Order: sequence, then structure tokens, then C-alpha cells
Amino acid sequence: MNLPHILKSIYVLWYRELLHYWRDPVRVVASIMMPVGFLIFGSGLSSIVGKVASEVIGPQVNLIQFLFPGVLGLSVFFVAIFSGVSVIWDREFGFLKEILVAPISRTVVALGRIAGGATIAMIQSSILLAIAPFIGLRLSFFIFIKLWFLMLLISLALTAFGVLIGSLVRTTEAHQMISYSLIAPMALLSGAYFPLENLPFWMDLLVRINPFTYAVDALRQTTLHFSQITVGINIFGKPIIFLGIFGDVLIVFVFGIIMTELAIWAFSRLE
Amino acid sequence: MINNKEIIQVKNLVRNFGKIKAIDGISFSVKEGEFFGFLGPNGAGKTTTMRIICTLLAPASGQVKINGYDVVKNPEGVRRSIGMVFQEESLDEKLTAWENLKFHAILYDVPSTQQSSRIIEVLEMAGLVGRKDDLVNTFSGGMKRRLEIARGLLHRPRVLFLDEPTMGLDPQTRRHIWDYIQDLRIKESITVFLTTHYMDEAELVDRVGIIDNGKIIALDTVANLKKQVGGVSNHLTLDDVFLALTGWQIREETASDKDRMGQENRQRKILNNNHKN
Repeated sequence: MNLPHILKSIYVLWYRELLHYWRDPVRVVASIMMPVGFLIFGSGLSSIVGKVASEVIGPQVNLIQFLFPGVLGLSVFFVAIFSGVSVIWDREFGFLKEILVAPISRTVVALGRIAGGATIAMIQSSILLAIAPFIGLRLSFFIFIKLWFLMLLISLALTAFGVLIGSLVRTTEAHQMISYSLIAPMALLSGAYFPLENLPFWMDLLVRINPFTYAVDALRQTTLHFSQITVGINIFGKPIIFLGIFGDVLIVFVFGIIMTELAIWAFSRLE
Repeated sequence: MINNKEIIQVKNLVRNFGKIKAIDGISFSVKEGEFFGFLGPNGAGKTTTMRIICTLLAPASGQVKINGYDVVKNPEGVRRSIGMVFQEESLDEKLTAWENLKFHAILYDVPSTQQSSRIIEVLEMAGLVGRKDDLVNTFSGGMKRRLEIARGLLHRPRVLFLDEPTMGLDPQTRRHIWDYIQDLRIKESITVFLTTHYMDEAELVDRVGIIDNGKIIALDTVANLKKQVGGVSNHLTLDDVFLALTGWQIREETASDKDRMGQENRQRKILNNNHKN
């Protein structure tokens, strides 16, 4: 394969993912309804748990503002995992074979998929980002751009993760099982829904080994200047090296690279 | 036009699945321009052979070369040289006919200046120009098949592989697909490698290879095979030849011994009758 062929092939694989998205009205409507639902849900909830939450978070932030970066991360997360399901559908509908016998390398196939899935995740989360001003979050233009690039990194990393799962699992039923046993706990134990304070040791450990935690934390630090998890080295409870948001970004980046490599590997052994 | 260049070369090909030998050291070759029929009962090794040839499955040992390219050493060269029409549907039903073909053209690196004209050309051949902008999920089974064959030809392959192309289609559509394939062979003088369970279809090929239990048990022209099985003056169909060579037993099911004996007797009868004639 020469370079123009590689780029054109990645482009056409990416474009196909987008065509599928636009032609599925349910997915498009869902990606608009999700943020709207979040607004309604969040404002309803804050009257009940708002007081408790503000004790933990601080009076300057209300619940809906606390939740916002978490939901931003979750929307990326779920779309990313869904792009893995499309690999399984392609297998079930037979189209995967057309791609696998084409004279293109499997690396190209994996990268095209990841690019397509990440773009759809970006469309959805960009809609969500656009409603930030309506929930009282005043984001400067600089922070807005920073968030957007952060989401791009998270989208790519998580889509690679989703595509990896999709290429390892052969049926939609099996994918459902993975969703319940791995994806749901990852979403729950990331700090997206609730503050990560006073957790029992074992849960704290699960939160810390969950790569998605750092994605949510990076988004939250950028929007609210408020961190829940420290990346660095603590000695006797005192941080001696504190990496802050760069630590989060580094972890998401490394996670993304590893997942992309694994997704390429998984595609290369598809038959 | 058949010439002497061997476009498909298979030598001592072996492939196991666990302890089962799916392909047990088969060798055959197909000449350029030839129409080759690859027959065998269910589970005999047809599909496994096809999957190895199209680089989807690695051989355990032996050598397969398509258009001079080795399937293990140069799979990309092999993939460029072949057009595949799979047994199961392999179209993207959420795309239009045009988009399916455009996708294929880009992946197969068809020069962009030629893409549109070639897409129109194969759509015309498939009789689908009028439907080019319709989503594939609105197509009938026969239209989908024609589109898949058209797609397989889009990048001008040297060999077209058709894996049971008419399976599950009604007689009208079968006839239509066949006229299309025959027409194509005249126009494109392309090598065609066909697997089928319909023996009337296989009567039309230049040469037949029959595989059973992972071994090639017959490899000749249809006329020669009929002679070999039934003697000179006979009224055998390829169906009879196939059954005589591969037996009556239904595959993938363990028939009881009694059934098997019954089947073997019937088989013997046919052979005896034919030899008497």
C-alpha cells in the first residue's frame, strides 16, 4: 500500500461510519435527546441531593455543574463502546468479509474504524458542550477549546477500547455481557455520577485502576478547577510529585495508545 | 480463451481444525481463462479451501499461488488479483448500490479518474443502473447477488471466485445470474472458479474438481468424468457422477448403520446398472 491509498482507505472507512450514523434517525435523535435529558434530570435531582452534594463539593458548585463534565465523559464513553458493536454487526451481516479480503492492511481497517467512531463521539459530546452556558457554567473561549481537544483525545482512546472489545467478541449477546460486567462498572466507578470521597479501600482501588476515572477528572478539572483524584506519588499522605491534569492526560494518552495497538492486533487476527 | 499459464496453483495444501483434517494434502491447478467447478458434499473442505485461497485463513502446510502471488508471503498481491463473491451476503445494506461500489473501488485502489466509469460499466452489466442510488436493503435476493458479482469485477481481477452464487434463489433468478456469468466470461475472458451444489450448473464448466473428506477424488472435464464412472455409452448426469464418487451418505449427520447399508446398496445398484449399459 502506498500513502495515498492508505489515507483514502482510512477516509472511506471513516466516511462509512458517518453515513451509518446519519442514516439512523434513532441514533441522531438520541444524541440530541441525551443532553436535553441530562438538563431535565439534573435540575430535578439537584433539589433532592443538591444539599448533600454541596457539602462535599463546596457551595460554589451545584450538582448539575458537578455532573456536567461527568456526563460529557459518559456520552463519549457510550458512543465509543457502541462503535465496537458496529464491528460485530458487520460480522453478522457479512460485510466484514468484504473489508477483510480487500488489499488493505488491518492497521488501516482498525484506524478507519477508530477515526469514525471517535468522530461520532465528538459530534454527540460537542452538542453537550454547547449547552454548558445554559446550566450556568461560564467557560472562557480558551477553556472551551481546551475541553474540546481533551474530548478528542478521550474519544480516540475510548473508541479504540470499544473497537478492541468489538473485534474480540463475536456476538451481540456476548457484547451485552461485557457491557454489564465491565462497561457499567467502569462508568459507575469513575466519579462521573458521584463525588469520590470517603470510599472504602477496595472501591477506591477500583476507581484508581479505572482509566475512565482520569478522563472524567481531566474534564472536571478543566471545567470546574476541581480534582478528585491525584496523579502523583504520595509519601506519608503528602504528595511529593503532583502531576494534576497533566497526569490525567498522560494516563488517558497512554491508555489510548495501548488500546489502539491492541485493536490493530485484534483486527490482524480476524478471519 | 484458455491459455497455458496456471493462474491458480495449489500444492499439497493441508489445514487442520484441531484433530480434524479439513484439507488433507490437496493439489490442483487452474489455467488462465478456464471455467473451473469445485464440487463436494457439505463439510468436504470446499469452503476451507476457498478461505485459504482468498487469504482469510492460513494454510497449515503446502503452497497456494494465485496469479503468481503466494497467499502467505504476498496476501495483498493475491487480494488484488481476485474478485470474491461469498456464499453469504456481504453488502452494506445501509449504503446505496453506488456507495457499495465506490467503497470497494477506493479500497482496491482503482484510479480515481476511472472509478465512476467502471462503476457505471459493472452496474450496466448487472442491469442495476436504474437502481444505483437506492439503498441495498430495498433490493431482492437476485439483485443483491448481481450487485455482489458486479462488485467482484470492479477492480478487474484475474480470477473471479463464486462460492455457491445461486444458493437460495428462485429458478428465474438463477437463470438470470447464469446468463450474466456466461455473458461475462465471453466479454471479459476472465478465469472463473465456482463452487455449487447444483449439478446442472456445474455441467457448464470446463473442468471439475471434486473434493471429499479433504481430498481431491476426481479432477477432469465433465465428459471424461461421466465416461470414467459410467462407461462410454451412458446417460449419466453429473448428479449421478457426483453421487457415485462421493457416496449417498448425508453429511454432517451420523446415519445409522442400517441407513448407511441401504445407501451403499443403492449406490452399488446405480453403478452396476450403468456398467451393464
